[in-house]
Amino acid sequence: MTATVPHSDVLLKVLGAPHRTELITSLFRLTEALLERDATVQIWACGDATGLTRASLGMAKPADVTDRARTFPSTAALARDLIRKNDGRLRWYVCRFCARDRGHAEQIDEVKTRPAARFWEHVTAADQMIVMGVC
Amino acid sequence: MTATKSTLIIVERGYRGAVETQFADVLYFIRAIHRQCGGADVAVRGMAASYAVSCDFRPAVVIAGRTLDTLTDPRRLICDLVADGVTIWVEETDLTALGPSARARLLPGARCLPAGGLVARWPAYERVWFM
Repeated sequence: MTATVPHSDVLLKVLGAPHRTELITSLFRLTEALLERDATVQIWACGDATGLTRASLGMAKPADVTDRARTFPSTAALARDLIRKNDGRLRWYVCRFCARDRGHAEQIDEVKTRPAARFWEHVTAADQMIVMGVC
Repeated sequence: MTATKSTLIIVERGYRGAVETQFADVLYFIRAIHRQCGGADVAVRGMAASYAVSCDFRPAVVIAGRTLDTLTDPRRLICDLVADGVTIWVEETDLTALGPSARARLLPGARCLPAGGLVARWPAYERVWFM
């Protein structure tokens, strides 16, 4: 089989639900820090983490229900901005099986859904892998 | 009936996300409940007791060149609840666990109880919810 996954310095495999811990903020901060150091990064989102980039989130939310003039970017907007700003050095993959299972099949255009059976291609395409959270 | 307010809401889990948190924060929800039920009080315990302690730190993080300064700010939201007439209860033991200066930095409107003082107040409420 020919390799379909471009090489990256680091693979961040992120599982687990938002809101429970600092996991998701750590994911974004770690990604930002790696990109600042000119690393190439791929993210593989599994489980509820597939919801971070679901299209139905939209790009912005009110920051406060009592002040709807101020907006807050959704995680989909943050992921989109990170991907666009870094010119191919960040690739964001979403596990198709998990996304469908959790009702997140519709994803933003900037991410790619991948079959769970292809996950190992991503492991072998990365020099280092960090697993963040559990399903 | 001795209850002046119908509902006591206890919040114990301090960290509830940052970047991924949208406007549907638990304290917003409590604000809505307070308006709907005719009056609620809030007890913050454990790490959530820090919600009622002032500090200079303002949460913000930079992602993709954008500074996110709209992260959940529980201290501001506690002040909003106080302004709405919600009583905020904190037990002294939880404040002590946050450090020696925590008691002196209690937000205006937050009220300190001795250890066990919160449970003693439960019967005064029609319902006690953990959120």
